[in-house]
Amino acid sequence: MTSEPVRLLRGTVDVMIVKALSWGPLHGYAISQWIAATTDDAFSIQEGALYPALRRLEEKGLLESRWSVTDTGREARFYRLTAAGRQWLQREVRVWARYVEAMSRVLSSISPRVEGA
Amino acid sequence: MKRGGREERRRLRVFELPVGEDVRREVRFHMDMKVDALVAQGWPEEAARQEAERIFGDAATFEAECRRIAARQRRSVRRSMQWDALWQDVRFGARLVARRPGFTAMAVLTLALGIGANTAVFSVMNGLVLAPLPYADADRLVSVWEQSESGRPNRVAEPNYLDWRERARTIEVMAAYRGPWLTPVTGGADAVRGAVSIVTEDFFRVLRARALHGRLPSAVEVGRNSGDLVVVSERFWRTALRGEPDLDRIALTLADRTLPVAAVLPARFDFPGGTDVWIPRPPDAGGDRTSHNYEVVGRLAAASSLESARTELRSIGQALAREHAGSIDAVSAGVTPLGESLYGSYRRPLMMLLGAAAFVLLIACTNLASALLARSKAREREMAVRASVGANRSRLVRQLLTESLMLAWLGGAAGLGLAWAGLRALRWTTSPRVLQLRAIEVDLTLLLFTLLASVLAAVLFGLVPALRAREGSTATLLRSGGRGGTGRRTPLWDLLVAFEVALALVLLVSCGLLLRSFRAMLDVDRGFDTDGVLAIDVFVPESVHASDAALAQAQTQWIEALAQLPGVESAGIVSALPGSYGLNGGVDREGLESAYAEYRVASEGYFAALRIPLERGRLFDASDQMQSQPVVLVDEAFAAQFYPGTDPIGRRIRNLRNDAWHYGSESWLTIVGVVGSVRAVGTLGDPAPTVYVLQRQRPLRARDGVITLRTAVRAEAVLPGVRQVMERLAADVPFEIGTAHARIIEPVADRRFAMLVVAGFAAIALALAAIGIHAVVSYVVERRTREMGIRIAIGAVPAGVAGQIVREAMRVVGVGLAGGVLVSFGTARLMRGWLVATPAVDPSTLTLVVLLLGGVSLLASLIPAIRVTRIDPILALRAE
Repeated sequence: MTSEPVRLLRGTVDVMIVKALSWGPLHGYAISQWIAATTDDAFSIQEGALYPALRRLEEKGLLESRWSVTDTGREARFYRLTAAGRQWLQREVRVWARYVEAMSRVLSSISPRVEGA
Repeated sequence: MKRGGREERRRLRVFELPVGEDVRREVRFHMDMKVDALVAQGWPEEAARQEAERIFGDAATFEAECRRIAARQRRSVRRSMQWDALWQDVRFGARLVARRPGFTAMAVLTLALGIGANTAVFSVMNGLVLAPLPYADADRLVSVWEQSESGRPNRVAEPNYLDWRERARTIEVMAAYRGPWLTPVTGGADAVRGAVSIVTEDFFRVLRARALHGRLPSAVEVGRNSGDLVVVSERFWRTALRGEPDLDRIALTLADRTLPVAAVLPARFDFPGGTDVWIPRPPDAGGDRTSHNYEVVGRLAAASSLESARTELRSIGQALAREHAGSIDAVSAGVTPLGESLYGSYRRPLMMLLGAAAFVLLIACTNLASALLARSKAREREMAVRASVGANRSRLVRQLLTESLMLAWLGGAAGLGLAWAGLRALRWTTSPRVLQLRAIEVDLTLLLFTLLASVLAAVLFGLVPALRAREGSTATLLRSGGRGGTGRRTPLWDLLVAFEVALALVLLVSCGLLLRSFRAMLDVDRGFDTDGVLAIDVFVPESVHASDAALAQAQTQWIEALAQLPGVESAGIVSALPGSYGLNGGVDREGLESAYAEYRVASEGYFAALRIPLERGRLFDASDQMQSQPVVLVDEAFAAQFYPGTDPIGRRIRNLRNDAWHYGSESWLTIVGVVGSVRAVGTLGDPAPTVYVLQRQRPLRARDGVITLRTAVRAEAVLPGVRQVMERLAADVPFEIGTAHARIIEPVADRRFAMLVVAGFAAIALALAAIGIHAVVSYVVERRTREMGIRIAIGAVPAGVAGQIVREAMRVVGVGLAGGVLVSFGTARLMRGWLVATPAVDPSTLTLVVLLLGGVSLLASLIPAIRVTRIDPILALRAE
């Protein structure tokens, strides 16, 4: 159950992180809670897996981070999208939309024949 | 935060934590938040923590991966920051350089002198010694020579060359050549003087020459029409022949024969150096083995090494010496790489010049180091401020080095220009053979050399102040307001000044020794005197005064007319001046074994003009005419060597080899007198035995001769008269007037050139040292104005205070002088082989140089020190 979806998960997690940050800076915990809530925990991601993904996105220049203080007075590492990250998200959204559309057509088809063949 | 460097500081904030701590804290925050959330949902504390850890997954693995990525990212960011910093340094440096034009100009000029000196010498060296000869597979080319009994290499006699060529297997192909010498050449309309060389048929094959235009004659063709065509240089073709593309339309008239031009050689083909016209012709097998007229160049066979060629030629040479015992004077034969035999003799003097140039650069660097040191003191406050706002020490050092490097590169560029201009100027003003041998051009090697010299210089002069900047304590500097309270010279400064003085001393001593040696060489009693003597080179074309009788008569007429000119004491003609390449060969003595001698054609006026004394018998006189008994004069060396203990007067000699073919070897010449021997300038050994044949009886060899005039007045005064006479009596004869002195010292022109260059370097060194001392003392005075002011205010005599400053400076100079004297002992030893009649350790030169340098140093420190006496104590105190 863990090994098989990883290939899918990795790219997916990136998109989810960037999407989560599209409204403004968040710390890692907040991002994980947003993903869990939004997806109804459908992917049951290990929360720790989020952090290497965050670091990698930062290295790629899609995110930047700084230590700051939360509302509750704790010190946390806040991430925020860069301009490059925002553009990347727009591209990914289009790719995903096509993917989902194509897959849902495949899975909802009712005939084995191709029309016009 | 919004100002410059925001980007950098933002990055720095991210990096406040070490990577490990950064990752750990982030994970801990996550856990704490999760636990809090679970507890809020009603989980017990302990269970909540376990649940949080379960949901998080393998924390250790995730943390390790985070650390790895973060570390990688930091490295790359740091790299890009370094580039940013470098760029910042460069911009900052450029601003500083531009803001202080005076200082920059001084620094760049100083460096340009140092780097330019090195570049100039190196470019000559690069052209002559380092770069390969411009011929295909030039490393396979060798020079082959005869070894005379004295063990020295000698020119080659034709029959020996022919035997080598036939027997040698290690040398694939071998050619003989001689020349170039200047001859009137008529090409089309104008008569010009061309440098002509005679080469054997294989010459162009040895050098693998390719024609630029036309076709080079094959060996067979040359053999068939011996001497019936010529090959010309690109330069000659372009200038004298006006670049006529159709070679069929041009022919050269040379030695009264009209020869077609077969080919034009490319511009870089310059061998034998300076040749305009090559006449290929087969060698003469009938020549004798003691007439050393040729030089030989060969190409090693594919399978043989230099060593095997040496071995083979040695044995061939020794075999020939046995086979032709009695008629050969060579004992063996030798082989040298061509480049070495052509330019090898320049290696040592050039190394010496490069050494001298290196000294100049060192002095320039020392000067700049101390100037930068002074400036770095002035900038201490700036540095302290920068350090206090976060620049670390190594960053500051880097900043200083960047500035040095920029100065050095500016200096290097200026130096390159200076070297180029200097070499061009030298080519115009003097004619040292060194500079004419091969084109000296700015190439990649030279640029690399200059670049390297600049970087080296930057490190040398930039490192000292930079390292000092490292030492200073920020706090004390800030507190003192960047104004050194007393501004005393530091030991480092003293060291630099002493070092500079020592270097200058070494250079001056070397220069002094060379000067002395050169003077000694000229001052040797050479047996002749050229003071006030004019030399007129005449080149009589063979078409003019074709017969011997007409030639002799014409020569005599010129000499007599010139002798009549007011101010002229005596006039004569000679085939070649002492030291010029003349003829030599075997001489038969009546009833005795044959001898060997230099051979000159002369008239009696020549001996008078050069004040060559008559030792015994008589000179030529009016009774000796063309048809009278053939007479000859011999010199003391000839008499001593070949008629020891007897009187040579009245003895007869004949068969002067180079004469024989023209006058017949049968006629005996009677020795009528013995004249003093002459030594060529640049030689110190025993004079060569010489015979003088009378011009009226043997005019031919003086066809291209030198008329010598001794003048009682200044030479310039008689010049118009000389020109008039020559133009009236010898309208169809090209001639050139110069002083005999200039002609005589030609063989030592290179030596003189080297000496002048070293003298130039020494002068620069002296000036730089003086500037350096002046600058340091000025700075000390400026810094200590307040202290001086106080001392003067409380009663010190201003002159005394100034004296103290000078004394302090001179103490340092003294240390430098002493050190320099010690070092000069070492360098003089290196120069010993180069010095003539001059001891390597020469007390008088040393004394003179110490006095000169000491005096200049004194002056250089006195000038700024005197300013102390003008200090107004009140102003000085207020100034702080």
